[in-house]
Amino acid sequence: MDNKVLLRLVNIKKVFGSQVILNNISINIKKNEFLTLLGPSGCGKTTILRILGGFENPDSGFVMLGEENINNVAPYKRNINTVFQRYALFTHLDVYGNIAFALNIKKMNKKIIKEKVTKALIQVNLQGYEKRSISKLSGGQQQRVAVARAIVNEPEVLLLDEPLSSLDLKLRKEMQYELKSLQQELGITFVYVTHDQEEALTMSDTVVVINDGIIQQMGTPESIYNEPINAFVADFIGESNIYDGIMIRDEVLELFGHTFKCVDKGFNENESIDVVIRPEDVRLTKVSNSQKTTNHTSRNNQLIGKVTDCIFKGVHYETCIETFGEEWVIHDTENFVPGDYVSIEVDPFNIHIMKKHRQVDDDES
Amino acid sequence: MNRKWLAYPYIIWMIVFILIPLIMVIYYGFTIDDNGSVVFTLGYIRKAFEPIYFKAMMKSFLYAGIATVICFLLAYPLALIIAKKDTKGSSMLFVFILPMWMNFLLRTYAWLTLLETNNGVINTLLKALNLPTLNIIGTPNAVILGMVYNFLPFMVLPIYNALAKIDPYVLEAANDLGANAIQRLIKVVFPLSIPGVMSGVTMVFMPAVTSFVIPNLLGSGKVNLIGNLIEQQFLMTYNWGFGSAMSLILMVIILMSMGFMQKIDNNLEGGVGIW
Repeated sequence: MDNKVLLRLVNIKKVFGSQVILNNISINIKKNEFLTLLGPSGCGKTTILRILGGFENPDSGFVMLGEENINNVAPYKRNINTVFQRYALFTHLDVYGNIAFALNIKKMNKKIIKEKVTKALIQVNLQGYEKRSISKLSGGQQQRVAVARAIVNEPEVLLLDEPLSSLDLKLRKEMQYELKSLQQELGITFVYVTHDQEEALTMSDTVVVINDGIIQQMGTPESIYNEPINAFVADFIGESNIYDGIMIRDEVLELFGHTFKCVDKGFNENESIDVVIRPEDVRLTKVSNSQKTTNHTSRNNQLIGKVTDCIFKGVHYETCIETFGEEWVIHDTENFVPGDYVSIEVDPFNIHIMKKHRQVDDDES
Repeated sequence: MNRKWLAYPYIIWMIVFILIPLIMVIYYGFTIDDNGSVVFTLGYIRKAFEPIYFKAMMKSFLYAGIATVICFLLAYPLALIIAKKDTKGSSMLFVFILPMWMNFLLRTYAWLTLLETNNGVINTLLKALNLPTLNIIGTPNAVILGMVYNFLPFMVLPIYNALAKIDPYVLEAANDLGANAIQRLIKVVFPLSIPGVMSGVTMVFMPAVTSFVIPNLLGSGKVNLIGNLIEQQFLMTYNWGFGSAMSLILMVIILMSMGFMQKIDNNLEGGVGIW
């Protein structure tokens, strides 16, 4: 990935009826970047992709490809191709006809078309499938044809709209790696839309988390996971325990009436905050019967809770614990029995403090 | 649980109204009453291929073919418009199909009233405006007009159906891959709608080729198609044997062309049709 910005969305706004779908979206996409738009369904991520592809026009703001404003450039004139969610293959053509479609329209030399189609089929691991009819292909194969049909045009940007959502889990994982290595091999900028956070973290150089038509956070997968900017991102990226807390002073907060140490500073005294704790960042220890009634211990950053459920998940046990009427979900290697009392211990640096605002824009104002 | 008995009424229906009449037609077509004893004959079949009758048959296929082509040319753009404008399209489709709820004979008589040479609505109007009058009653043109008018909805509906089922993302994909509106129509939309076109062609051509009411009324007896000849054999000359023989030949030709259409249809996989 080099640092040249290839595609730029500037203050994009889109309204359908009275509903604001996109509110002031600005993203810079670098050349050869794998950028993922991540968010729950209805958050506006697909609309961004459709604006990039030219299927929707923004109500305000503009899209720049290189130095050119492409707002009014028709989809068929943009050097951008799309892999559609349900593949949208041409069922009246065979695999070859589908991949050669755009090249035929450009009236390329038949021999060159054949070379290009063969190369694209090798790139998506479908050698020898030229004459297959689309209806005879599995979902994964159709998906590969859809990718081949797009990359054969050597676009500057490839847009992918939840391309893996209809595949089964194992195939989806396989395709994640294949798409990523294909992107590196081709050196094409990928803009990928998904609601699957794991997919986003696995493949992307940059993840853009979107909710309610607003960018919540933009950054590398690591930064998004480790330093979520607000409770929404924390909750959406991975599992999180989120509770209401009060920031007493710098590095000290109150949670369920207990004092916890943390590493965050810069909040107002006694400010209401969201406290986010990842399930894997908690240590559980079984406590004896004499301790259980007190419900708190003398040690800092520790609570006593009652195990309500413990499910084996393979790598870990998912343990549900109740404290003060709130539920904790914790990933731990030890198996507890419902009814056990355990101490919940969190290190200060694993406690993430977030302002009560859910949106980036509010933070800035 | 065995529920075969549920099919019995339909089996009885098929025997009484389809199978027995068919056997009777075959019986009449291949036998002759020779002084009280029934004898097998190919005479009626042979007679049907005599030039005067054969020509009528060819003429039927020609007129029905012309009517089908005109129907297609009118129906395809209309179906495209209706399929494109989703909400407005359905009301447009409704208006278009409305005349179909009226009796077929009534509709044809209405055209007779409109087109009549002396007192017809159109000619009265033309005369009042001092314009030359239209003399098409009793000509093949009137017959073809009647066929197009009566059978057009049968072309529009299956084509509309096929077009409406095309995934809008497929159309976007065509745009995305460099096709402009016209290229998209030729390379994607039309090929995907062929099964609908096939159904439409079948549903217009078949009734058109066998029609006898339209040539009777709008051709005023001067345009004799195969349907008219068969009707005359049964109702005027009482030559049921010859009428049956002509019906059989027509039926064989129709079955053959349907089989042909079916074959084309099957070659287009994933298509939609109403057969």
